Amino acid sequence: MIEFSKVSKIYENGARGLCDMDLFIDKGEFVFIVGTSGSGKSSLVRLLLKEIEPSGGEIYVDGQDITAIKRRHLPYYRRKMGVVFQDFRLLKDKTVFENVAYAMQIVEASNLEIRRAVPQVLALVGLQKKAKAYPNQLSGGEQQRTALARAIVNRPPLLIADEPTGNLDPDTAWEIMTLLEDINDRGTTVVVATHAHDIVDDMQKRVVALRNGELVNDIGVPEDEA
Amino acid sequence: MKPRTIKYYIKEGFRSVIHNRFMSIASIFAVASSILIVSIFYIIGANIEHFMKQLESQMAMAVRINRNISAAERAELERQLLLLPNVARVTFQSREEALEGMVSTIGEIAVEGLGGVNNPLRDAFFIELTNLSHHDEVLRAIENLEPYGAEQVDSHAKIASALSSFSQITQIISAALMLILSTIAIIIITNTIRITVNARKTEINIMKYVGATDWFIRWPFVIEGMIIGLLGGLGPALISMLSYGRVVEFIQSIPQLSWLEFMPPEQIMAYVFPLSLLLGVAIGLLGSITSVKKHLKV
Repeated sequence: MIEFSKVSKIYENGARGLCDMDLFIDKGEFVFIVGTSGSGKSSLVRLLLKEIEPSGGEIYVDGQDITAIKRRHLPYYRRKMGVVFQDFRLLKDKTVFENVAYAMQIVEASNLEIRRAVPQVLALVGLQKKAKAYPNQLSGGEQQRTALARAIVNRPPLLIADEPTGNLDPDTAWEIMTLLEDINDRGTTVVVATHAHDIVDDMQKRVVALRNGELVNDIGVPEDEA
Repeated sequence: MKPRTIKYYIKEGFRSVIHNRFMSIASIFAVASSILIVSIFYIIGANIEHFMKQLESQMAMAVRINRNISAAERAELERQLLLLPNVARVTFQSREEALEGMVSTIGEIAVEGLGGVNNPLRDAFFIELTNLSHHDEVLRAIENLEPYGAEQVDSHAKIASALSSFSQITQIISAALMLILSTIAIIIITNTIRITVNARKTEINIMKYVGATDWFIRWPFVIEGMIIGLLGGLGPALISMLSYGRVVEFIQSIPQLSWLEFMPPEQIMAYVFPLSLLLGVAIGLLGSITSVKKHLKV
């Protein structure tokens, strides 16, 4: 699903994001990317989102060399993945239903498809009763669940979550992680960048540890990849 | 693009105007005031041109006709005059009509004894030009028609030349002012729309991450800009329509200016109304496209 081959990222100010990183994530995996601030977690996520370009190396997502994707084709690449951020990034003047429906509107789904899929996904994240609420009427956990619903409504093969529990209390953080696990169980590859060690330790998933832009540990790699 | 997507863009455009109503109202007023100034200058410019045309039509040349030519020869002279380039109209005036004109101007006593065979005046053709700037070339061409019976040409060469220059200068100034004011209007509107778009850059950013194409993000903003522009253009269009006739009436009620003949309201509104609306839509369109552009590179 994801392949980093000798990927480096040096920023314009000379800061090192990633250094000669090799990483392979198979379809259907659940992978935590852990590390302290400046370890390279955010660079990895931003490279996957093609928000920044690598200084060297190649990145393949679903068999496609993403460094070769032209700017005008970028939206179509991003539709292959769902993204969840620490700050939720919901459209504040749209309701929960509309925020989730937005992801379907951009792929020109019909109203019938939207009316069918959005309630299903809201039920999955437990927000069916909040469909008409606006983001500022929701708790942090509810906002993150809305973001999750938006990320998966088009059934993307890959879900990237960048510090999804960073702004949440421990109980709510667990709820979100459980949801991510459910989504992974349905076949979606899930990559979670986080520094929530307690959750990572308890979830018993593959953990990729970064330090100063280098991969320093890769625990729980499936046997066929090892 | 599917019809439901177009419907979505239009719905989002209207929704955005209403949702950001304070900024929308500010933008509408900014568009309206700029277009109103442009419209006023357009109306003034169009009326100056109208006055010029009236004056030009009064600056006819008089071609005195040889007394000894026949009616057929006179008809041929008229035909030759009409064939000349830049001649708009040729009107015949008999020597009797000319004398009657003198009587009404300087009184009967001054022309006493000059009737009938003693009439010293000559038949004449009065020539109106399509444009006073062609005065000299038409004059030279008429002088070449002497063999056809054109004996003497009375013209207002200096006045014609001065009027022609004034008319051209007025047109240039009027066009330059319209251009400058339109540019200023576009800058004001672009900045106003830029403020609204800046306030929503996070929103644009989110749309980009969700996989929206640039045009999917841009269209609702473009429609919003066009709605604001259209509403901003409608105000000055209505103000011009309702007030032009009254302003004209007021000016003509001043005794010293009562002779001024303005363009009829329906004629001027046929240009000002669509001009205001189109200008508003164009400004909104241009403003929104340029404002959104810089936030799309995510």
